[in-house]
Amino acid sequence: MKAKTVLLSILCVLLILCIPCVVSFGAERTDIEIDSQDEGEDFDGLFDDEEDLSNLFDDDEEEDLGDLFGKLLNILIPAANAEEAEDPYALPVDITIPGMEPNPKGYRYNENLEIIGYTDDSINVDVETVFKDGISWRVARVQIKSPTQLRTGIAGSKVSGKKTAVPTSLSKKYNAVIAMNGDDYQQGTDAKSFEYRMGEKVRSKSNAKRDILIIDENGDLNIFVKSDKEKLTAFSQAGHKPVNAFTFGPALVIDGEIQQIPKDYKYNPNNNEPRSAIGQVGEMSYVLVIAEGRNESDSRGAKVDELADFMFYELGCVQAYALDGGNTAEMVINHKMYMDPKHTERDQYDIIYFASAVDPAEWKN
Amino acid sequence: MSMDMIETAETIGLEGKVLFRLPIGNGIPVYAYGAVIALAALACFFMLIIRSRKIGRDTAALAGCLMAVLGTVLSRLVYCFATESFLSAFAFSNLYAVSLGGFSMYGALGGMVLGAWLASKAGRKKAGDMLDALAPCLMLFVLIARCGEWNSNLGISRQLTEERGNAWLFGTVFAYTEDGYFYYLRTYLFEIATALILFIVLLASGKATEKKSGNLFLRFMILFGATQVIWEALRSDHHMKFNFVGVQHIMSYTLLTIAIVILAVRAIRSGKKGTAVLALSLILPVAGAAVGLEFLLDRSNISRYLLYAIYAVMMASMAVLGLTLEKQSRTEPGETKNIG
Repeated sequence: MKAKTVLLSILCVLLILCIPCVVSFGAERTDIEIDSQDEGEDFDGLFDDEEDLSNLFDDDEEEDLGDLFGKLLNILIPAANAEEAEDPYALPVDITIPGMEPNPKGYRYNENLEIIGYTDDSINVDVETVFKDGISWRVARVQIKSPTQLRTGIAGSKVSGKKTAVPTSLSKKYNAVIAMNGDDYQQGTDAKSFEYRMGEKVRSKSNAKRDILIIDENGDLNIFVKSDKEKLTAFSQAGHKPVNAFTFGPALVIDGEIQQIPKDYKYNPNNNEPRSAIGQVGEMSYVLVIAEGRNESDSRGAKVDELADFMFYELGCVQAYALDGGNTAEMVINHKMYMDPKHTERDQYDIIYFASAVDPAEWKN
Repeated sequence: MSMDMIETAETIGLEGKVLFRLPIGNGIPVYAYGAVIALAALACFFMLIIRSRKIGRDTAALAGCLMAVLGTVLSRLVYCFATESFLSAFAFSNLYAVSLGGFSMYGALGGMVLGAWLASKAGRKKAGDMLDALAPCLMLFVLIARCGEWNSNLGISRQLTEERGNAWLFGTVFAYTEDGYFYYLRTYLFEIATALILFIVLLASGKATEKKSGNLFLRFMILFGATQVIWEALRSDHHMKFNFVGVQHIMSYTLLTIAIVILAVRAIRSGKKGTAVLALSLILPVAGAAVGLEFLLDRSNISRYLLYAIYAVMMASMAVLGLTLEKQSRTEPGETKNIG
């Protein structure tokens, strides 16, 4: 064999042997966030306005004047901590821990054997289908005893994962009494979005084009229009922590006021589509809503302002926020779809669900 | 990226696992997944040397060097520019921050083909002969490289459920579960099996196609492209996707289409229009039908077995047309024209 061939072959083998030092993961690592603030050429239009908000909710903050003021506020206005207060219905705030197994006898049915709700000592759920103005609305009214019963679940074992599953399977995994789609938090370009799942940060960047929903330690819905940093700062300085947070929207109702829906908000707000939303009507009192649409039912779908009207005028929400729509929108009760039978389940990253906090030992005996 | 971030990387299957550290500087990690890729690349290179009768070992060795570099670089670049999360947070430093993970099989194959082509030019050999020699080697590469996806987040399907009629796969080697709740099809097993079959088929086809420089590579494009369209349709691991659109899914169909167009144009020029016109006229409708199938898979209750069977029939038909054109082109009179 010629010397040239031998040398080139040796060089080739050496180059190939460098590959194991370079290629660590075939897929993108999901346990770290891509750093978008590195130096680099600025491509106009590729970026949304963004700021890193993670320091707002970090436990160990650096000492500076701003932080001193924040700490003073925390002393003057102590944070409510559901884990410290006596809460006989408290469930662990942990993404890996499901709710208590619901009592099968707790589910209620009408004379046509259609499910109408669930009741036990810790939770009451009433579901109904309202057909109005060509739209079929699936409504769930939920009253819970502990804010920890309002939970989220994911398909994988880590919040950074990218596995998906159908909502009925997710509901079974987490022993959900009632569940609905979340915001499909790993779908789309939002490496900049603000997402928490059961107290665990997924991402903590703002997005000036999107509204944020934070469910805090008291189970209250807090909505921030266009990721309003001033209000987010005030929220954190008041001692609140995000238990679950979503970046989808838009905001529908804030502090008892119905919102004007921006025409240019993403997700086709001005046309009829299947929609989903979560609302709060009082302390630990919520609604989950689906507007059915597309070819799956006789319902025409809803515009987002119609969704806002329904949440405010029909259901009396003081806070309401739109979540993922389209084929993702799905409500599940007793691990079965509460939807038109023509609806096809879509694999999703996450669900919002309400769980029972009653120990099954109490009713199994 | 600091060493700390590499040390604390969560491992998924072979991905992220550090086999050992080289005693250089702070200790350079040698990754298990990268080792499998390197093994695949070595196998590809040695097979190319064995098959270098027409191109010469010098040129094959040079091709190996270029393939190693360009395959790695393009694998990374294609991934970064074809992945929504990277583009949305774009910074040049992220391109070479390889510890973030993310490599593309099509980028690797493209880089290897480019490297081989450049080597053929440098060695003044026919590009068609080089690519023909390379074709089975690429399948050997894919066959071994896909093994690195064992128990990782790559190469898994939509959830297997009773409602979808595929719960019978639970507990078989084809089904993967991380937590015992949700099961997924290991699509990379199908890709491994396909790569093995295509490796054998392409080796066996060598003699039949050798009179027409470049035709074996066109066969590879047709067969690999057609089969990959199906496997990419099965995948639901969100690797290189924009919303619901899989970039590698599109690349697979593009690969098939390019081969068909090249062969069809040749056939038309030599007066054999029938099959060529049929093949060309089906390209767009089949693409449209594939899009329709994707919508049905996402939004309908139609049996998935039926939908994927239709997918397979469509791609098989296109492959048969392509292979027919390739066979016709071998009997064309006159000077053979290289695809390079």
